[in-house]
Amino acid sequence: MKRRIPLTITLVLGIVMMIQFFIPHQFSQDFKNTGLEWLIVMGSFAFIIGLASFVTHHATKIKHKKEGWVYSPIALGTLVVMAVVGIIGRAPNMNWLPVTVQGQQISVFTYLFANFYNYMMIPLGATMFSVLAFYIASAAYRSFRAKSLISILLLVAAFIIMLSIIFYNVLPLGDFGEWLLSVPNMAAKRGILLGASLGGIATSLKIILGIERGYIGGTK
Amino acid sequence: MTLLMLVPLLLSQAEPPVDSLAELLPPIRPATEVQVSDFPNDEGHQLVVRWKLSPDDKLLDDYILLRSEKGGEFQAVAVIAPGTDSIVDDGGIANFTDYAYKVAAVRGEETIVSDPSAAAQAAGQWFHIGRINVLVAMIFFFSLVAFFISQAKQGKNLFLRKIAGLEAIDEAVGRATEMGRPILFVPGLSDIRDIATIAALNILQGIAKKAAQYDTPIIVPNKDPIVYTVAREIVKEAYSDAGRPDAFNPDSVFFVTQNQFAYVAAVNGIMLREKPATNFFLGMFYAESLLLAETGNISGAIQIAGTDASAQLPFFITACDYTIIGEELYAASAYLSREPNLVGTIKAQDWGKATIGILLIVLTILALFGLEFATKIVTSV
Repeated sequence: MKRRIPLTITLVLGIVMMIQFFIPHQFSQDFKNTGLEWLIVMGSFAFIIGLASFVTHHATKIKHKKEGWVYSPIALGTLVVMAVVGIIGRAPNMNWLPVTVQGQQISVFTYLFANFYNYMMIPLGATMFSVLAFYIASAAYRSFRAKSLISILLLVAAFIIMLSIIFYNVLPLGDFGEWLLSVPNMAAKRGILLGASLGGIATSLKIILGIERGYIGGTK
Repeated sequence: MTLLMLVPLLLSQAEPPVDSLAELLPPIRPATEVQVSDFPNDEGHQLVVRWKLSPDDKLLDDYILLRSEKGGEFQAVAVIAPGTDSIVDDGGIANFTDYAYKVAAVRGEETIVSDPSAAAQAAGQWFHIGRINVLVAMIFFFSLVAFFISQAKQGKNLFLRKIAGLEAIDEAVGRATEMGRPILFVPGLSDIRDIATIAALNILQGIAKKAAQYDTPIIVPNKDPIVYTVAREIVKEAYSDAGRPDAFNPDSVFFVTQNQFAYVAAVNGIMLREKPATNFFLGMFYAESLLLAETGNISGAIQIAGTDASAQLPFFITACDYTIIGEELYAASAYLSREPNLVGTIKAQDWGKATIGILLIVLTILALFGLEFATKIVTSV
């Protein structure tokens, strides 16, 4: 019963949504939009479960003094601070502890929330992203080592493309580099996409028909 | 806006004022043959208006579209650039209500209005004609799936080519067991609506079961709370299936954050602190793929990645020991379980791909011979 109910719901809704795809009528669109709204509502509830997991995970780490536990109080502390500042600061008509920013009076909580987000969250994310530049260099070094015929071909192709981009309109490589990208590279990419799309459709079908049950914990 | 202000003037049939230059030019001629029809394959609330351009189109400033509801007064609803001979009107159109249109050609202060169109109504359709090709392809593919499932059920031996990345899963789990270190499983950064995420979760089930059998810890950090909920149940069930429900550590599957790079920082931290012997990166990945894979490489773990995000595949191929490419990700659960029903769908996938390949070759040859219908099919699919 524990699996039969979700499998039945999946089967019925899967078939209904498949039919819905072919019906442009208002009734069908309303049905689809209602489904999407339900998904948002369910996502909100799942977020509460996620939050509980976050708190439990870090509390356990602190309790058992696991390696790197010192970061857990920071994670929990920032969660509380951002939540409090965000909830109070973004409440409608909130004007507690007003401060003047660019000639406008806003609550200090609103001000703090914006600052935490703009001057801490965004730079931290950008920092992580910029590490990518160094990782690309090391990954490129490994990829372009000419160990075999295939890696030599990769190296030559990459070299031509790099030159064609850097010396655009200077070397007569521009068109060839463009051709490498838009013909052989695109052909391979489309082959992968085609296979992946069919795989996606087959997986959807397996899920709808209840053949694939791994996502609900088993094949029985 | 200026043009819209002209409309009351136009409707009152007043003689437009002319300046000296306008007096020298011959009068402009109106747009003709104004036709209105329901917009096809929609939910209604849209009408298509078409007209024949004024012979003086190149001299015009604009066209103004005038609409009358239920035989009432004509009112301006849109200003259209010269050279345009059709428009989709979707502003406040009610279904099953008569609408008629006129098109006014405007040059300076001179305006000339076309004859009104016949009235038409907007309505929603119950079948999207433009999606017939999808329906045909779907029926064909579903038939293939049904056929191969029945073949597999009859005990026919369906050959599956060797997929190195999937063959290596046992070896990777075994390595973690031998080293006494955990397995890290990242189910991608997308949500549960993404089919790649579901494919990754299907693989998680098999890996978690093996980890349970070998008593190897498994760590599953999640970016999406719904994926976390599903992953947690999967791992829990896998431990039960392996006959070791008591060994399941609820803290091994956890939600990290929904912020992309904060998630990456957390997972990289886990890789460097806990030093998992095996990393699985399966599902949908974005810009963070190389950050994860390179950190895993630095930590010395054996890495198996799989995604259908073609832009991320080169990064995984470079930094991981094995990469499951595109469709192989979706074939994984069948490959690992060898269950006839699942294997049957993989054969259907292969035949589907072969059919598309043959069709592309045949249609391309026909298009080269100038057969228009082949060109149309190739360019519209």
